Amino acid sequence: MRTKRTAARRLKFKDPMTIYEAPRQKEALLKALERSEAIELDLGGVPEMDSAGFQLLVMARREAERQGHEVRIVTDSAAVREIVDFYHARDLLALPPAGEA
Amino acid sequence: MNAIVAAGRPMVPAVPPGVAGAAAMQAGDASHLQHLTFSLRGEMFAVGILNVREIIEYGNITTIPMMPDFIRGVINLRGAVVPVIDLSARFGNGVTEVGRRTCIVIIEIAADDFTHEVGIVVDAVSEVMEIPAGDIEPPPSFGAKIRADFIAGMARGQGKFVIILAIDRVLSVDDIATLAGAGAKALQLEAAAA
Amino acid sequence: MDAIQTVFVQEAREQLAAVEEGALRLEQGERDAETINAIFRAAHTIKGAAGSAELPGIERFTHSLENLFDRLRNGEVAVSADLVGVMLRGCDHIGALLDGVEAGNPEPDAALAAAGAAICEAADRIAAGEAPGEAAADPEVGSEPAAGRCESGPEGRAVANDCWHVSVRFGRDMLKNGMEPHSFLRYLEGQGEIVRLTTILDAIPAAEEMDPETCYLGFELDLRGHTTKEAIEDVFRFCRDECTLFILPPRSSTVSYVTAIQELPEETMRLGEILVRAGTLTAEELEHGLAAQAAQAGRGEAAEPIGEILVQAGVVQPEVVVAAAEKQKQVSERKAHEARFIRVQADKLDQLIDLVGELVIAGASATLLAQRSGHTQLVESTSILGRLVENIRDSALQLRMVQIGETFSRFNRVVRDTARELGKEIELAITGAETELDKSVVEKLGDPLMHLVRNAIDHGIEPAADRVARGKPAAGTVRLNAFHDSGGIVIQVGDDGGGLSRERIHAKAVEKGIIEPGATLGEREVIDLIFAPGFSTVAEVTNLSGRGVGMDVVRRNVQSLRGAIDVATKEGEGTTFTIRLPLTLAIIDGFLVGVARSSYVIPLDMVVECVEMPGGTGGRNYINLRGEVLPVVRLREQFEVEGSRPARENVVVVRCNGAKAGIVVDVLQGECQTVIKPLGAMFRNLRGIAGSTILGTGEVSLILDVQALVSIAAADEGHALEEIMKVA
Repeated sequence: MRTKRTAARRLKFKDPMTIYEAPRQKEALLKALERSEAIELDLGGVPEMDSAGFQLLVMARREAERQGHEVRIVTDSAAVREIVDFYHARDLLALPPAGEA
Repeated sequence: MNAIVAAGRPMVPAVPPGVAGAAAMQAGDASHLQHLTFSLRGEMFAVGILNVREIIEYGNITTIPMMPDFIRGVINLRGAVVPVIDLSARFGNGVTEVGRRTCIVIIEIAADDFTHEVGIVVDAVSEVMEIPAGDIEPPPSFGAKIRADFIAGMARGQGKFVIILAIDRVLSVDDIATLAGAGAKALQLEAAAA
Repeated sequence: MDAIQTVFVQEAREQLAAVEEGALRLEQGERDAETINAIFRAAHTIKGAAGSAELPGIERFTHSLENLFDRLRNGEVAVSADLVGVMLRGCDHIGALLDGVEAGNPEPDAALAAAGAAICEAADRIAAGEAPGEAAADPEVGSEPAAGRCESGPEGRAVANDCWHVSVRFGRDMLKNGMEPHSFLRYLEGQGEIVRLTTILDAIPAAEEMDPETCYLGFELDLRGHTTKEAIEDVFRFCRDECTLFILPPRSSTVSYVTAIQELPEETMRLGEILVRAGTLTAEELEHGLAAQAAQAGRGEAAEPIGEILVQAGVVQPEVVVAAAEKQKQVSERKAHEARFIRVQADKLDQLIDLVGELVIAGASATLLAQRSGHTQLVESTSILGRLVENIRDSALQLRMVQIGETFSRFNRVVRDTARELGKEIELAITGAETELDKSVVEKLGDPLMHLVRNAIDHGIEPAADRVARGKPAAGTVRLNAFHDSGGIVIQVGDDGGGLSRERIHAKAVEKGIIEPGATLGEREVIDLIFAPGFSTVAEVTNLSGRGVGMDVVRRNVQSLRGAIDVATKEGEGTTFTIRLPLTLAIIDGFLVGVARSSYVIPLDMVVECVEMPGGTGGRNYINLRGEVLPVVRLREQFEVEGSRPARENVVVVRCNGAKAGIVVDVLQGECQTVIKPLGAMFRNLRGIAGSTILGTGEVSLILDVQALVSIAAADEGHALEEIMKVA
């Protein structure tokens, strides 16, 4: 894991991560990735997540990898865990172990 | 007590089939069984009403060759061929002479899981009589003019004894078939002898 | 027993016969897949039908047999003597259970249940013996993979054992249309447990191109649960048009689809319809497939068969399509055959024939009255009616005609079991199986035939060693044969055994007190002694034949059917029993004759001609018929009819069983249709009279037993010849 900049940028989501928010959140994620090599996502306050939100997380991870950057989900919420676990994508998204919210 | 007189045409059904059974049921159990009485050579006989299907005029009997006397022949009973037994001859008292009041009582007997209809020739039918079980005495060990095992019991009615017949024994299919077979044997013997 | 159970019992017996036949074929080394499949199908049908007839006992029992058959079919167990034995015992047991149902005891009693449990246990042991996994023994049938293994489905999708595999790619616009894949999958859990799920993310493009409102998700998941393809598809109903969905049934379901296809009613169906009916294909999938086919055709390509397309599309497994195609072929083959049959309850047929009988009698009565009235037009119209009644009579009787083959083939099992019990090797050869006779006759023929066949096996066929010593093949042959002969049917039971020994029969008859020690009898007469009551030639009474019932009972049974039995034997070469029976016990054409005031009926098909009785025969019992000596029976004397002989008498020349004889009567009254009414049990010992009938006048007339009369006349013949010799 390479880190070019020392300070990881923390991004906090408080809104639902659903299709309604997805376009805006996509932009936010991509911008953050442009600015920092490492992003910490704080999803602890996400009250709702749907497949659109899930796809965004996948996209973000892949984009980061493509650029040689890093996206890390540091906190999650029940809503996030619910869908990620259902999709058997905990490892893929490197979610923190359950209970570390 | 309803007297039944079998006289001439049309056929007089004793008791319609089914009704006979129902009447007997109402009369209670076996203790008060209704019987049809008839005369034969001056003697009175009775058979349980449950066995009686109907009473028909005597006639139109087709004789069957090579049969003992007591098998009168067969009749057409509404499309069924029914054997007719001469009771008097069956009791060994000679063939019944046909008179004005002679008739055929159609009896229903059960044998081998089937019910057979058999006609019996009687001199005259007299009445349907209720005989309380208590009034029935066992058959005499001797002195009766017919085989003891043909008698189910004796009852007193109108001053004289009535012989209640064990009709299923009188009309035993096996017995009669064996006796009827004698004729067949005669035929075979004749063939052999010729 | 309700109507459903009645039908069930009948059909189950047919299926049972198929299982049994299959078992015997297996034993004889015919182990092709078709035989084994037929057994499995039949058992499966019984099981299914027992379920719908609400007979759980039979359903359970048949289920355990079916399991065994399934393993056999999959090549997991080999054909063995034990296996065949269990199959046959299983058949017998189901037969006994069916007997119980018929007798009104749908649940077996303790003894029967215990017997059933023992058979199940044996079946399970055999099923387990060769298991698990590796295909055993018979390579011919061992081609299908074992049930425990995973199989690679189309496009490499693995089908885990016992799980449905669902492959779904959600439509791009799902999310925009307000639908959430996650919810569908949650809803899918209602159909079973999702035991494995892989989220397919390959479709998600690089960030710039990715539209956050587009759905890129796909899933591969395994679902464990008792469900149907329809139900699974239904989960995705609202997004069905947008997503790509494949539902692969569990391996075990593939088997059940094949079975389901085989069990479909015999209708002409398109292949796709068959698959849909079996539940392996949904209507939707079929539609897609057909559209693809149409598209191929539209592009000018040769359209592939729909089965191919469906397999390529991954919606059905190839073996299921094969089964469906087979079914389709079967149906088209059977269609022509089966359309000619409908199932009718036997008692309805009997009722019809009874009614036709009454119609015949009433018709005769009407004809008689018309003739008496002298009204020409009335006579004419009744004669037309009469002809029609005759046609109806013939057609009605024809309805009840069945082939004797079914009765014959039941003996395959009898011969096998009996021969085995006695340690003999015996083959059954059946000929004339297609010969038809009245069902009511066939039903009463079973017991006499059974006795004769067992007799042939037990007493007829010699032990193998004796046979070889005599230069015969070690394996004996029992033959069943049937053919039509002059208005009747002839049934023969023959063997190539040792034949009847006249000396032994004679000795035995003396021992049993049937004949006097010094009696001199002709060859025929000695042989005929075997029909005497209380006769049995074998010293030790075996378990199979000769327990109480003897040949006398067989003869009596045959005679009660207005038939006759005789025997031909050659020492060292074998014995053949020949039974002659009338074709029907219901209605015949008769010839009415009169003696004194009585009328008698002679079956018309036995009448050869009628001639006037020549004068001056005196008391002789033969006449000169155009130079031929014809023995005669004088009915008047035979039946001891009172009164004197008329001036003119007539002779009805009859032929029966190869012999010819004359029956002397007073008058000839002409042909009449004769509804046979049995005389009843009281007259069962009566010989010379075959039954009775009711004439148009309402009078009862007796039907002559021509056979008996001819044998009387034939016995006279020797006597007659002697007389002729004396005269000459």
